[in-house]
Amino acid sequence: MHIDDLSLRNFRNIADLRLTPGKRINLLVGRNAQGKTNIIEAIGLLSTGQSFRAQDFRDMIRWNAQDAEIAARATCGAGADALRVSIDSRRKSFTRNDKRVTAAAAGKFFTVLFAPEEILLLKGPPASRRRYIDSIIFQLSHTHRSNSMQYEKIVRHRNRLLQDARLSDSARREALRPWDEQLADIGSRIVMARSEWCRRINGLLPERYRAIAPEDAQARFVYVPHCGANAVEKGIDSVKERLRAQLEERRSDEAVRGITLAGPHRDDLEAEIGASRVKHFGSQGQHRSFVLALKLAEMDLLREASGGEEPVFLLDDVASELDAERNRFFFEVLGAARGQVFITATTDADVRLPGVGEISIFDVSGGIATPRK
Amino acid sequence: MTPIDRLVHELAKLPGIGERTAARLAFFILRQPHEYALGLSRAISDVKEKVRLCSECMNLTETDPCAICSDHRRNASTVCVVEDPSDALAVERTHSFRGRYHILHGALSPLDGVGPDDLKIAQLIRRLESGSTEEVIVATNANVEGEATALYLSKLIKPTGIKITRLASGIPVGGDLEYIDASTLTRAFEERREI
Repeated sequence: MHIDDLSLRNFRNIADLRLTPGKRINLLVGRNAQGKTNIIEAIGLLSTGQSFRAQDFRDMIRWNAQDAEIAARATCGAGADALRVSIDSRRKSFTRNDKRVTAAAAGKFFTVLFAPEEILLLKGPPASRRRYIDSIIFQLSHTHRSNSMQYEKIVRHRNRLLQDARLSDSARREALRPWDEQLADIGSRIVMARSEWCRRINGLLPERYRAIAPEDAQARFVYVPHCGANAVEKGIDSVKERLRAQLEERRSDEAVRGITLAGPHRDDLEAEIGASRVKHFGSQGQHRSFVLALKLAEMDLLREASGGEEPVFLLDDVASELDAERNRFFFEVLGAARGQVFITATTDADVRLPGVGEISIFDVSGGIATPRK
Repeated sequence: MTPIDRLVHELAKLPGIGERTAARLAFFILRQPHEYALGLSRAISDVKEKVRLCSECMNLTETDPCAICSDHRRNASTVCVVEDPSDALAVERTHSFRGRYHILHGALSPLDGVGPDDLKIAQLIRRLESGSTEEVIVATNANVEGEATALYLSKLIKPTGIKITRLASGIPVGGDLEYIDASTLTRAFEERREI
């Protein structure tokens, strides 16, 4: 899968931009705030239907403009598609070959995004790890995406009931019941999906990690569901049962704190190397190596899921966050891979690309990308 | 304020109507013959004066009980519960349901401050207690609010011994499997039936 050409109109700081990327490595070079990340964001939006900068989508429209548009030609094994996202003050709408499609069906190409904040994935709050695993699953399962949206709403409804001071204890109990039931139902589906996709990632991760840190023990990205790994092993019905029981157990706590205290929105994921947890025992280097391996495993997973097609790799200013050795390793791997890659960097010097043949460099300045000869 | 300003101001309160559209509508009305404006204003005031809720099913009606509740050919032992009058119309269009309705006028939605007391649930229960209802079909929307409402009703109604059912969710008739979204298809698999 690759993008043959890309055009942006009134998208963030970009008035009008056309880019004809190469099929392999594309380097977007420019000072800060020139529009490099906006280009990466636009490609991600075409692919996933969502922006990785989770803000109000109206912010994507250029200041003082009515609407924004992203258009691209993307080729996958089956042929080329004309993809388009139009954003106005009311909605984002997607078309493929001039036919309306839903956001979930927008791009038929997969992307792996690697942004600087993800270097801290293992140290950050559990929410960032849940977001991370979900963002991968969303590309592969529309069901998981719609379940997650429903689940989020259920929790918000539930929290509102927990915070409603006018309700007596018994009235609250009654009012919560239908939401508890749905939390257990939709929640158990989310838990099973996360568990299944983590299992598949763990089939790919150890090899990637070994290539980076051959002397280290085996790496695993362990799913830690709030309902307990035991329930997950026994299947979806026992997860559902367990979620119901947990809500019952936490009922008085919930009343005091006014928030939902059981369910997959409390899940976590832990990085393990051998028997030790990277979060607590890992060195800076191990953190970075682990995340790097995870990204490559993600690439493998998406390739596997799409029948062997290479996903598009989006690297947003990551080179500056990695040390020289890991940088060299990472770009060697990307150089040896076959897929299309977009890399943003403030200077060429950040990116060491030894022995990479096909490389296209664009200078990005003031929202304009100029191919360098 | 001129009369035109007043009209624009009132029209702009309608859902989906902005100031510009409101102004267009106001000038349209202004250009029409006098009878049109009178007819429109009468239609608007009639809606408020003549339309009320059916004391049986809570649907909008001019006569009480409404045409459906007073139709003796319809099966009074089956009650289809819907969120809004427009949902009852949708079921009516199928011509396949010959029972009666109960309109809740909404769905449970704590985020919007809608609780059981804001819906016509008490009226439903009273109706079930006094009547000869054998089955309640819950046809609320297939979203989290509609589902919560269905679960809430089932909790209330089950102890009465009245049969309570929920509309199936699954593949649309005449639909090709390949065009159905994954979540709907997943549900259809779960709710498959023996043939």
